[in-house]
Amino acid sequence: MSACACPKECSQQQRHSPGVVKAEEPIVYVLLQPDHWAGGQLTAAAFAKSQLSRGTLSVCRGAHCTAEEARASIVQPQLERDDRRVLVGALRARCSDIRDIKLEAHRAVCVIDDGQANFPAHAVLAYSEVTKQEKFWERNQRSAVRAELARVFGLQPGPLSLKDCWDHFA
Amino acid sequence: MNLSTRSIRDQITQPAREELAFIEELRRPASQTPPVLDTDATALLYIAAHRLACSRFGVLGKGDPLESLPSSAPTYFVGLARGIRVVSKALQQTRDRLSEPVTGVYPQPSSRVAVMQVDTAGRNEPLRRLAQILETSGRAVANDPEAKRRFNAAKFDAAKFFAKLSAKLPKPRISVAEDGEVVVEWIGHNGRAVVDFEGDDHFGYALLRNGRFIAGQHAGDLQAPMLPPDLLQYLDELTTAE
Repeated sequence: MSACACPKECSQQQRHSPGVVKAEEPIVYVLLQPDHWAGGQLTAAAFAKSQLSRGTLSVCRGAHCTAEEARASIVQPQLERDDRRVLVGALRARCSDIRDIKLEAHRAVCVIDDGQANFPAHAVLAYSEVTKQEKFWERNQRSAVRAELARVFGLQPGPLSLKDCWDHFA
Repeated sequence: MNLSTRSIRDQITQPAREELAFIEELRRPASQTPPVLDTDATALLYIAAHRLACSRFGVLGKGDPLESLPSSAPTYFVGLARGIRVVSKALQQTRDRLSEPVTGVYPQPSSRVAVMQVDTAGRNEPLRRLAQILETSGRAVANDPEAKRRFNAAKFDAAKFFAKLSAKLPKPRISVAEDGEVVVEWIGHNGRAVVDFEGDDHFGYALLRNGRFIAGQHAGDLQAPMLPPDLLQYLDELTTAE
């Protein structure tokens, strides 16, 4: 069932990637919008549904880059593009926890390698194929999946500095 | 900036026309108006939206009082300012009447959420917050036309949703996604409800049960007279538990 839900997880998608994303890998989401973290909770708004639908929600494979590389490749470019953004911190989740998000026994979120020449650790999150079936995919289910994603990334310890986040991997 | 009334009207989006319709609704005789608290709370948002519209088209500075609107301003904005003054006056009168918390009885009570003591300050808080994000998050999506379009529509959907809530609830957290979607969350010790708006007159919702979010059981339709019963029940339980 898993293979059908996320076929792009089964083979390397980008030649610059270090391979398919493994279940035990730590996935990092860099939070740049202060409004999305308040009172010790990550808001569901941190993850845009439209990006999940397009499969363009960027995350970082913590085991395949350093804190400095993440800062140079993720944080700096986004801060330069939009000076209203602020680095809140790095949120971590285990890849298997993301892949474990299910609705009615169907996998809902795919974690896909998307390594770039200048940043091989880049990966994307996407709604699974099965969720694109018209009858299955209702508005509330999209809301639940996105809220689950926020719950998984919002678990303790919450946003860490890039250095602390990567020190934890070491 | 020299804009003719027509060119401005050409740029007015559907939500802006909704604002005008809403102002007209507020000006109806008292016997026809919706419950006063709903009007009061929702009007706060619309005032902020109108101010934003005026400043967007350069006929009013962001912090300028409405009275400073130049006499040469296009007719649309003169009418707009007049409408805002009417709403402001109505708001003040409402506040005068409701300076103390009162017990309110609302139509079609389906749960304890619908009939309970009303804290007017708490009741208006979500709308104040929503008005606030018009300023902050609205700017955050300004560079993306699609996100801006979605946000402009979603904020009015959120206002309609709040207008249907007739009770004291825990303060929700309101935020805006990068694609312009408005997300409202109630977070309690024993639960969490997420309601999101994409600007299509519908909403999605999910409820945290046994540590995981599950999808709501009913379609979220803002044209429906009542909100989904499982959502109301959940918010009711969240309120009781706090």
